[in-house]
Amino acid sequence: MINLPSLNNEADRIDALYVLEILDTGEEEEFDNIVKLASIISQAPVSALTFVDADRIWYKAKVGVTCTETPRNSDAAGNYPFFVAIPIVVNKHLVIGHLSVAGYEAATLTQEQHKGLALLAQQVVTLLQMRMPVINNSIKEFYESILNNIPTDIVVFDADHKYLFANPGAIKNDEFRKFIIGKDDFEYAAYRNRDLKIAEQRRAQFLEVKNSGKAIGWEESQTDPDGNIITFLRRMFPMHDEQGNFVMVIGFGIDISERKALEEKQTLIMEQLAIQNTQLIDFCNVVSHNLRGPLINMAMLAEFIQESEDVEEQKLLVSKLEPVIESLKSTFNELVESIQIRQDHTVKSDNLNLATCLQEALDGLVVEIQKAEAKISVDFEDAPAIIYPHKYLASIFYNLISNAIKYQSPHRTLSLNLASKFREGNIVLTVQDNGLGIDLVKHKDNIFKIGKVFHRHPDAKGLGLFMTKTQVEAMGGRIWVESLPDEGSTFSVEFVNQNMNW
Amino acid sequence: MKKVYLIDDDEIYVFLTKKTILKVRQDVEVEVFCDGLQAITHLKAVKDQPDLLPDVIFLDLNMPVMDGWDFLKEYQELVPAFARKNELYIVSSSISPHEMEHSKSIPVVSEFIIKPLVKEKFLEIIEGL
Repeated sequence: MINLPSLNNEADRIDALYVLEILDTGEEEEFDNIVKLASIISQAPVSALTFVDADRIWYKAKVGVTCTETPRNSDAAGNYPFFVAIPIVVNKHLVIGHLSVAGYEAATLTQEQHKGLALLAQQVVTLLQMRMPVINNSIKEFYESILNNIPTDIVVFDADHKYLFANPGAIKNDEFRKFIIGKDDFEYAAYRNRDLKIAEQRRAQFLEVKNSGKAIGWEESQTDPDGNIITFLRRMFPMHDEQGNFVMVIGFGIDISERKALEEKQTLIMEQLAIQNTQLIDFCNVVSHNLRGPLINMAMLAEFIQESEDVEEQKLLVSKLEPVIESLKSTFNELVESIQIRQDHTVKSDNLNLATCLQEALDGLVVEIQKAEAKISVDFEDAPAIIYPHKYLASIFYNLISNAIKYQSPHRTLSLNLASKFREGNIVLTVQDNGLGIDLVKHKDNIFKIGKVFHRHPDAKGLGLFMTKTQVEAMGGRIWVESLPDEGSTFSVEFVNQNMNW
Repeated sequence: MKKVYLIDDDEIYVFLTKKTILKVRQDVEVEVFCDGLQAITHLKAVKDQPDLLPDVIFLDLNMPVMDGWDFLKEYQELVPAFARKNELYIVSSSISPHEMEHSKSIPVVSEFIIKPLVKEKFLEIIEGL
């Protein structure tokens, strides 16, 4: 009655045997006792515990025989009239060896004796597994050190959403981490005295994974105790056993704040680049329209002066050079200044009184205002002061008011209303007139561009609003206009970050 | 006598171009309009009078009130009603390829000329009439 190990699953069988690290080990009392017991139970003179290697049968313990190993194909059992081998089975179906008894006379075993041998064979497996903790511990340590040191938070939930595991990445505090095992998020939130919202959200996510059997991922932002925004990339995925039953959910999160910050920075840079590109195109248009025009005139004038033999005509032509040069100079200066404004990030802001600053601008326009007989009303009560560079504010007032005077209606006296309003940390200054107005449907995109003029006026060069916009935007603010042709215009300027104590 | 319309808001350029034209051809009469609206208003008024309509129009683009492009929109509508045919040239200080490309899509525009209008070009145009 030879009971050879099944050759099925040979590879798995060998793997299972090798993991136990039993082959070629020394004698051990526990195993020796097993074969002695087997011999006593079956009243057989020979007993052995053998393991079946790939090409040999190796003896761990024996009674009544001396060999330590035999070739796998040798028929040692054939030498005995009485031979019984009980398989040593691991992982339910893998036979790795035998507990055998043999005698020199034919005999049969009672059921009781058989049972006894079977129990001993089981005991061998238990003994083998007891030797394992040495290996188990080192594997456990290995995985634990990975889980504890990995810069990722990892948690494992059982089928009821109770914590089976949380690594220090997920919960830093040892005490809290110990507490959470066997609890759910609601119990943990109560323990830590925290908002239940997160627990509710986690429960919903857990159920989604459990019910769909599919992994989910999302991004999540939190504010840390120092007020920094931390963004996590989170994932939850279900684990199933061999039969496909849902057993647990593994969740992990990676801190992607740095990546997020970098992305935001890149977006910002892209936006700035887009703005700069638009400005560059504007700049090219300015060069084309505002600089090329006068240059062509100068070149033509020079040519005529050279060709002319009439002194009077020459004088006339030279006199025409002057305004061309003036216009070229002022366009050029404006351009240079607008570039300087954009590059000057260190411009100093002061605490300015709006009324004082306005008066300075009005003083500079006193002749024009008198000529226009303009009526000016001012209401700076809501926001009497702002933090801003003095030079820019003066220029904003000057440009908006001189524009209003320049484009007043010939049919009515110019009336100007200036007001400042405090709005959510910003101040909005409005300059409203009853002048010619602008057809915004037609000129919406052009109104703040350099060199754009909309009315016949000797002084119209289209530079003021471009400059004002440049100054406002350099300080992070906005400028916009509402207008109806022949009714008037309202220019609004937003000054940002104006939270201060008066 | 040939009749030329100059539509341009740059006084000095207009002065110099007039000078250039009269230097090469004395049989040319130049009428000046300082924006698109003045020109189109005039054209509407004289559209039935062949003597008053121009042979050639030189049109600037960047002008206040009504710029060259808006002028062209109205001009196109008006052309079929003219008592006689004429030529139109854009003369601009713009070197924008976008504007040049756009001008090609307008059938009434004969050519896009980059300022200044030189003697040779003017002669070519006036003799080609």
